[in-house]
Amino acid sequence: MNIRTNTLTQVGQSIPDVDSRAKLTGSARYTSDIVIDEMLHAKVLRSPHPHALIRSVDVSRALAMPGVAAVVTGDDLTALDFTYGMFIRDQPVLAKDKVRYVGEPIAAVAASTEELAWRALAEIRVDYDVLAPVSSIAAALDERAPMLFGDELHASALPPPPPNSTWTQEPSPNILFDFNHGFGDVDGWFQRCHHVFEDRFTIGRQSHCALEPHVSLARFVADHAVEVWSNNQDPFLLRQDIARIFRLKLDDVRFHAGLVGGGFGSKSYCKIEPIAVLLARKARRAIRLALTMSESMMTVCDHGAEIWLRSGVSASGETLVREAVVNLDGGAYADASPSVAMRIGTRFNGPYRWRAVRSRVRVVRTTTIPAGSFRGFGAGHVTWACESQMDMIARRLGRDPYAIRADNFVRLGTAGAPGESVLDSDLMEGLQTVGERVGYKSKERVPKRGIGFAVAVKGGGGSHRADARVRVWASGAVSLAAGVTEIGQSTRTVLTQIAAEVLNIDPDRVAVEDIDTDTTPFDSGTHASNGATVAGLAVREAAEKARVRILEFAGGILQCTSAELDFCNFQVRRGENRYLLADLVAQRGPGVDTMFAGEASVQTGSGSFFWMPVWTAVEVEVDAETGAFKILRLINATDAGRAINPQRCVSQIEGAAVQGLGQALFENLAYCEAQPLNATPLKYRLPRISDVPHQFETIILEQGHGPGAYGVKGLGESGNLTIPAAIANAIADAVGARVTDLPITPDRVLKALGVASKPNTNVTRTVEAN
Amino acid sequence: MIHAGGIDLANRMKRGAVPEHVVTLGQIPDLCGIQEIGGRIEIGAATRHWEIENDPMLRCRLPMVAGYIAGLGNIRIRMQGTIGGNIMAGEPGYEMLPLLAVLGADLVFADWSTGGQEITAAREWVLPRASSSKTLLLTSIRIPLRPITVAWNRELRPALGLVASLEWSGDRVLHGAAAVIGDHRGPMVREHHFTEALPAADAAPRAANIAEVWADKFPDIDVLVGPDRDYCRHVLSVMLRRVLHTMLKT
Amino acid sequence: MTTRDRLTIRLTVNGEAHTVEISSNLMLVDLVRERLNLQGTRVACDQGACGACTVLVDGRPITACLSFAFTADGAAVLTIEGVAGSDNTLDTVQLAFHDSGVPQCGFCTPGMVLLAKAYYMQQPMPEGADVERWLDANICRCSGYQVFRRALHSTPPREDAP
Repeated sequence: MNIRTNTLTQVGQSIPDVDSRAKLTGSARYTSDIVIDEMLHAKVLRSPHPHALIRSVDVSRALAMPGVAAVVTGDDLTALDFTYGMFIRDQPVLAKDKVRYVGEPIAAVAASTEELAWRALAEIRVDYDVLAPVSSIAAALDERAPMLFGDELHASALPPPPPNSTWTQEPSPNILFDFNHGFGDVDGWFQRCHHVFEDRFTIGRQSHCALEPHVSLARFVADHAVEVWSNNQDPFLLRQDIARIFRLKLDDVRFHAGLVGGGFGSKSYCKIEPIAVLLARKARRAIRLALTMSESMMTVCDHGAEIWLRSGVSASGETLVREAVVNLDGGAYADASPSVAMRIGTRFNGPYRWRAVRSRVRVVRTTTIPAGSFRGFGAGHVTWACESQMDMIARRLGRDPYAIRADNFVRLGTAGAPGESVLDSDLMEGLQTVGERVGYKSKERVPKRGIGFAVAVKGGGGSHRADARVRVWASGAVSLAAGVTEIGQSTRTVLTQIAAEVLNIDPDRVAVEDIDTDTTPFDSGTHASNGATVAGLAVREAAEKARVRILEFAGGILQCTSAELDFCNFQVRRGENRYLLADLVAQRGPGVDTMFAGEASVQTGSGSFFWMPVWTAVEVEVDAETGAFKILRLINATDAGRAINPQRCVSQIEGAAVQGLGQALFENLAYCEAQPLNATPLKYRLPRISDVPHQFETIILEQGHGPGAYGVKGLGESGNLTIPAAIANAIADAVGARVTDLPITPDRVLKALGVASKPNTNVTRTVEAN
Repeated sequence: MIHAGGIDLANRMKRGAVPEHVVTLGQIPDLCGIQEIGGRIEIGAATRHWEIENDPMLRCRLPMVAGYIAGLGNIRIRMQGTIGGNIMAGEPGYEMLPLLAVLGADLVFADWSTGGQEITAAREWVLPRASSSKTLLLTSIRIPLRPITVAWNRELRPALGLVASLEWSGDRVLHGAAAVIGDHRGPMVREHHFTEALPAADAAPRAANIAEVWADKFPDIDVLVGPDRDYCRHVLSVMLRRVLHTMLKT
Repeated sequence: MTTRDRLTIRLTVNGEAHTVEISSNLMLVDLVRERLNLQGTRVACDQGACGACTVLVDGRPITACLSFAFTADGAAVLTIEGVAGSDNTLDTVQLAFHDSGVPQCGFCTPGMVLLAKAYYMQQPMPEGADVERWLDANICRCSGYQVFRRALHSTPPREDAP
């Protein structure tokens, strides 16, 4: 196929987002704006207890209220395959017999107004047998801990383990998943290495807080056929879930997805959709179930975690061997936890070369909000521990943290671990870029100020299928259909630019269709930063096919081979001659289709299709009296391979960085005895503009090694991963205080400062080299 | 339910509360506005934060009060929320009451049931009473005009903050009051009487000592989501010293 | 009044006069979105924390999810639909946001536009640091806020402040 890459006109242009005007003038429409005639409003009754048996649910008073059309409870699930979860299906659509966290849905009401639905909830009587909560990882692992589930395994659809890995599903009721991974002679290398360092790190749980809360609308168009609108980034996966749960045929379930008001992981996989469908079926009416943001915060969050790292290095600081043990707080239900555990377990080599690595990741069940996917899919957890420890090792050895990183980087074109795809970025270039920008080597040291670095590499795009269809009308319009959900990452813009590039047209001529699973080409889900790369390949190929069809058609009329022709601005060009496509079609007369379509499908293999690196340099100033610190400079760089739209890349990375900043400084869903303390937007602190340093720079490298169209690769999940570790490293550089718990609050810094004056007690073992 | 700014009422109604009556006060002229009457400033309870921070008279007479309020909440809250709402909401993290406490301000209530008036010192006003109060209607806030300096520290916001005042006689410090800001179970105001009226020049070098003694008068602070008591106690004395330095310099 | 009372209010929304019968507990955001069908105003946190529902009431940025509709009686309300010109030309703030690439998911965008617009209407002599103190009121979860700084750095002060 003839793909021009030398003279690009659309790729590389920072055009505004294709929906920019609509979003700025208020005409953009989201799922939360959809109004269906005669629809009912639904509200969900949630558990006030972290752990309790449900003895009875009495809905009679609610049902008797005028305007209340239907109430559903766990009893309505009996004939259904009523549990869901990404790989392990342990979460009931509504609590059945038992509740396992504060906020768990117990019943749902459909009424003529939202206010009435709220009031009807207050009339439902639930009789509980309160059980002891299991509020932390330690509590769940205690032998005397109450069990959240019985001994039986749940239905599951786990994929084969990644290379060098094994897993066990639900080895005990309070452990959802036990994942083991490793390569090389770990024990042997620990014997042979010069220094061994063991450190422990913890991470609080972050809440996604996308601004548009979860919303689903559902209506049955026949007894056995349902139509659903949901602001979820997995419409095709959801179609499968709803068909399975309600025992419907796949083609009798139809999902729509339009613009989504942010997700960051909270809107992937099945969430509230089955409740809306259940109510629609019972009420025989259209249902709108819109959560409040507080409810969204209680629907899913990121994993709290504790991580032990034991790392062995040579006398000079060569990274040799590592062992990692991780306990993830998975909350009450699986959601995407097994997948997150696998991503974490396979990433402890990070951006460095190791001879041997072994890891064990357990997902522990607690009576808290179910943890699921969050931007980075666990790569942030790994990076917090590994990049903090990399600095700690350097300082213990008296080595420069910058240099020890540079010495150990995985090189471009080599694999970081056996069985992994080769690295498609030059890590040294990125480190040099942020190092120079922050003035690491040139700056004079100022008391209480320090500079910290962190580097991470996250895989993306694997095991993904993306289909696309491009239709070119002779009249001068192009219609692009792909199953990637527009969630604020500008996927519609980037795909538009790729189609416009291939077709040699103005991007204004391209309209991107909203997603409708009945008509939109398949996509396995908007994940792993794959939109621009995988769907981008499909769009390029589909557009190219449409272009070829146009040229073949024109060649037939102009009586030449299509190789002599070119297509530009809806004109066919042959040498100096130009023919409007519309004229050629008209010339041919009736019976000729005025539309030229191309379709394509791209399937990536398992493992990473591309690698997203991120390099961060942070300068801080620490108030040694209070432990408060100020971020003076934040420099973040990533590699887009090729930036289709540099401005949109910068937006993604800046936004990710500030999410990382929030995680580093204050974001944490806190519990007291299994009661959430701040799972509400009034109490949960999110970054504001005043939290963001003025000296905040984002650099998009274009190293050109990406596997996507024009060398592109995804980057959306990279920008947040390194921020917390870079800040902790900068604080250590400034005042010698090492914080190993997230968030890095002033009291933790102050406590660490107290420790800093004492001899380093973290070094557990030093072994002489053989 | 009596409704002025309405921010907190609306939040409560969304959680399912359905008040029988709503009485709207925002448009009653007597409850709005700022005046100087006989050695004190009187602020109507329905006056918005934004009006207070931009009032020319107040900016002249109590410039630090305007400055403190300008850093409160955010612009939407200051343009919509009223001083009375801030006090009566009963939210421990709200920042108006600590300021009024160190200013020696009084809260003036109309008693709904008797038709009389009740005056309570801001520092005596107990938050739980605020949210459960059924018959008292806050009508105004009285701030005495005394030779006073005010300073605050919000570096550790939202976990913890401090606002303090010093009262002067000429260039001598007579006494001070300090109040803790933050999401804890307040109120938390402690005074410090200087044994002899100290000239500022003599007080400044002793600020650290004074701050330590002063901070010791505070009970333990339990922040809802945040640092432990030991940390709070430690930084309280640091913040006190810092605000003392600021006040003694001016 | 009791919360079951119906009352009639008169207000202008985006320059257009309306007389509406409402219940006393109707929120301004619901009046705008559901009764007047102006869906550009977003409901996000619904607790006044995020500012996605910001509208201007007599020029003041107001949290519409926390304001009773009756408080807008007699007021001039500006929602995002009224910001662009009648021929859909973007106003100064919108244009600056457009050129700098502000909208990502776009859910905070209308509130941010109105907040910035209120600032330029209020401040005859705008200063960069000051507009940031205003923007601090609203949450954007997608961007790193730098894009707002870039956008407003380029926005000239509005001369047509009322």
